[in-house]
Amino acid sequence: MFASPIQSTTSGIVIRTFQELIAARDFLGRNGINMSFTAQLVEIYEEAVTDLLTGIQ
Amino acid sequence: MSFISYLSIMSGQIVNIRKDTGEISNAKEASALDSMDDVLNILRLAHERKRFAATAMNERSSRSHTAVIVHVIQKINREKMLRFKLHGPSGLSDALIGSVTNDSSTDDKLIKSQLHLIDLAGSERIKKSKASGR
Repeated sequence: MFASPIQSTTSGIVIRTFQELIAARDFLGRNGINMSFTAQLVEIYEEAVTDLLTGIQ
Repeated sequence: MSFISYLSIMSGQIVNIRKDTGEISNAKEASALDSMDDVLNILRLAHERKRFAATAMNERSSRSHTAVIVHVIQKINREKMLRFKLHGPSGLSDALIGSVTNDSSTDDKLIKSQLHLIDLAGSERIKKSKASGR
């Protein structure tokens, strides 16, 4: 719905998701809805959870 | 919540996951992501920390599960929303509009959402890739 022209055909789903979110935020922002977002990135490897933003296990 | 059961099965570390929100409580949240540059920066940082191992099929194969958890907060102003409903393009769900306009309270509304994008470690064609472990 809000696809961005800078998106490449090889962009993965994470990139596409954030491009949609940013475009949606800008669109909604012009219409009285203030949208913001944050993200957590987590890896699960050999039964251990690692926070990929801090490196802490 | 399906995410909780997924993590509990795969990781055995349910203690790290908040039962009410499904958040990984000890994982840092990126500060507000304002642009694609912010997004690319955290993705790059995360990518450097990910563990890779070679398989017979792929020189650098991700052998772990990775979750990107996006927290979205929407703050909705009732007056603007009513105007939006009258004049704006459709594309927002009636439920979202209704939740604001059917309520006589004039306070702003907060809607919190979460999106989980999960990349499962490759276990496809194990015979060919000779991947082992988890």
